Amino acid sequence: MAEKEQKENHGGKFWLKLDNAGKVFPGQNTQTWSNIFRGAITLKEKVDPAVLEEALARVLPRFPCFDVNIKRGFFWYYFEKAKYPAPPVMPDVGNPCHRIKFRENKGFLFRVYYHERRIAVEFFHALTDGYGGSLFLCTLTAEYLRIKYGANIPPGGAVLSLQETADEFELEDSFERFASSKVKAKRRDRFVYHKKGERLPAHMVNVTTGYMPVDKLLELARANNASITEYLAAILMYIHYNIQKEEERKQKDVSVQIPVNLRRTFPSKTLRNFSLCYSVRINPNMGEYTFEEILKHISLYLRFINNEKTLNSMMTANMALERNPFMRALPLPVKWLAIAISFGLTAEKTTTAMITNLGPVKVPDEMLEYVESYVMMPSPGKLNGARVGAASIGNTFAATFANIYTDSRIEREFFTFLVKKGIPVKIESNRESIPENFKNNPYAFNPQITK
Amino acid sequence: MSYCVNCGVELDSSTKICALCSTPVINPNIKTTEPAPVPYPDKYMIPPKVRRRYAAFLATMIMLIPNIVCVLVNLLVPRGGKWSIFVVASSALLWMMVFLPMLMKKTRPFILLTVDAVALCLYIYVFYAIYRQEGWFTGLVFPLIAGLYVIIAGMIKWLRKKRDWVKIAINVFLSIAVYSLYADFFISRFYEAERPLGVSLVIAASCIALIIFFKFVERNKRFRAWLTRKFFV
Repeated sequence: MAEKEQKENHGGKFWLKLDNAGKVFPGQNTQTWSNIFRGAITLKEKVDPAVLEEALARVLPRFPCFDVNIKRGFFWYYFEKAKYPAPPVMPDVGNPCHRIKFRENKGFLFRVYYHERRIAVEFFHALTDGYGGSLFLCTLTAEYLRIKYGANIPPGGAVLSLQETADEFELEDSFERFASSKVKAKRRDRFVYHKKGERLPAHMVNVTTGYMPVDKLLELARANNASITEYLAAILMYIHYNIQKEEERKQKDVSVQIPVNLRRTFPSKTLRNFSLCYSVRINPNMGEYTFEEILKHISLYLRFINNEKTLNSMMTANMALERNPFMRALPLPVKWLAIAISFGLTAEKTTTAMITNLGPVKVPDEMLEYVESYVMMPSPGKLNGARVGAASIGNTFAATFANIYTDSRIEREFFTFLVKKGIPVKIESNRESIPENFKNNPYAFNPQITK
Repeated sequence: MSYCVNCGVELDSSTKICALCSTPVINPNIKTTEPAPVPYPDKYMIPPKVRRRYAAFLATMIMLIPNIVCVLVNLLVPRGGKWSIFVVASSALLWMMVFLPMLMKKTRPFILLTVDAVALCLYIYVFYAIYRQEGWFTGLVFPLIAGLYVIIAGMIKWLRKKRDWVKIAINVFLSIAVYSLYADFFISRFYEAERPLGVSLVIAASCIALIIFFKFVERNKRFRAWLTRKFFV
């Protein structure tokens, strides 16, 4: 098998091709933006950085697909075994998910941070998706707790066993294995509405997390015949629909992008990318929409489209580009330019907002007593101001906004909507910690970490 | 713990204003002398700007190599004529237009425009010096470039203040009309045409029609608001 060849000592070095989704992300990189998402676990006690470093050194060999540096080939980017044993464990920063440069951070494509009781890991999306990231973070946290407190945490759920080594199925490009449809899904590329406003300076992002109890949220969603993802997506769409109505302009479609974990449909164990995005949209020109109508539209659409055949045809359409002999023979700089232009012209222009729900992060009960919450923060968009990441652990659900605009209206309406429905929400944000003069020009300071 | 009186959300104990609605948090029941830990530190990772000057320096060094090679080859094998002059002139033009601005610490538009105009004149002068023909450089090329320079410089100076899009449109069409008449005059004079102005009259007339339209838009607020809504991007 091609993947098996990659695992073997090929010329004395372990290397991997980028998976189908990962191939796009290096081309999207700019000087001020990268597609980086963050997972963070908040514990009940303060984090010890020395112990975290030790845990990282023990856990990283279990994830060889993360223990890599990205290299530039003539036709494609590829991963190679990292030169250094592990990336540095760093104090957290006030602007998460800032852009990554491939030579920084000892060449690693993920960053490990700590702050007070929180362990956070930021991943470059070419490496993995939210699910793969959660496995790494939970395994790292479990090992940290074992070293720090001598906790007896067995492997299970999102905590992988360090006694095992990664097998070929964990390192495979599952897109290549499962994309087998004879039909390629067509993409609708009509541009949609975006709520714009005053942007923050480059490298800055407003992060707002709302914590709420899962059982109450689930009860509310089920009372409306919807899942939590559908309900929250409906709130997001409803807010944007109302904002556009107020603007008294030509009404464009309002769409919400919802990534879906393909491991729930296909029998894949991969630790790398294996997810696709659905885009649900409404056309306000068809008439006045109530929240209930939007919720019904989203629920029915997702249930209609979320099946193995549709997902397979979407994967096949993506793989077709990669398998196209003309595309394959193009040198990397040309591919890179094509991806950058295509991404700049389309990408977020066909999405009003995004919500990615990791779902319940399952960890052993022995670990749960040390953990308070799990936060999933999506990458800040280049155009979208409302990108929401959600995850739950135990009974705590956390929805996190990454917003590149100064206006907090979307976050405010989102969380107050839930409060009005009887869901208690606790807010945590980095907005207060951004100094006033920083908001206009962060380069006014020494362009490194301040203080 | 505190709650926002406006949104109703629970707030972190370190919060002084609500992150959602900026309402100040005042809770007289909270009596603590120690500041509560903040959710995010006030330290930021701001990556350094791209080292444009270094990149421009590198590009300059790389560009020098083919130029030096071409000059050496031309000197050693002079049979083909002085072809290396064209290579050097083209590289010099490219360097002055693309890489010189990257070497400057601060972008100065008038200096860059002047440098570009001079570079273009020199580039064309190289061809004029080699293929000496009757005064086409001083009689035609130089006035055209000079005229374009004056118009662009005027636009840059005028655009230094924030201007309304309607006024910008009017000025752009006015510049096109004036320059087309100016250029046509010099071209006709050089080629000793019967009529001093030809196709430029058509261009100028079209531009004047558009100017009149935009003047109407400027004065009629309702029509202008309708246009803004219709063509909102």
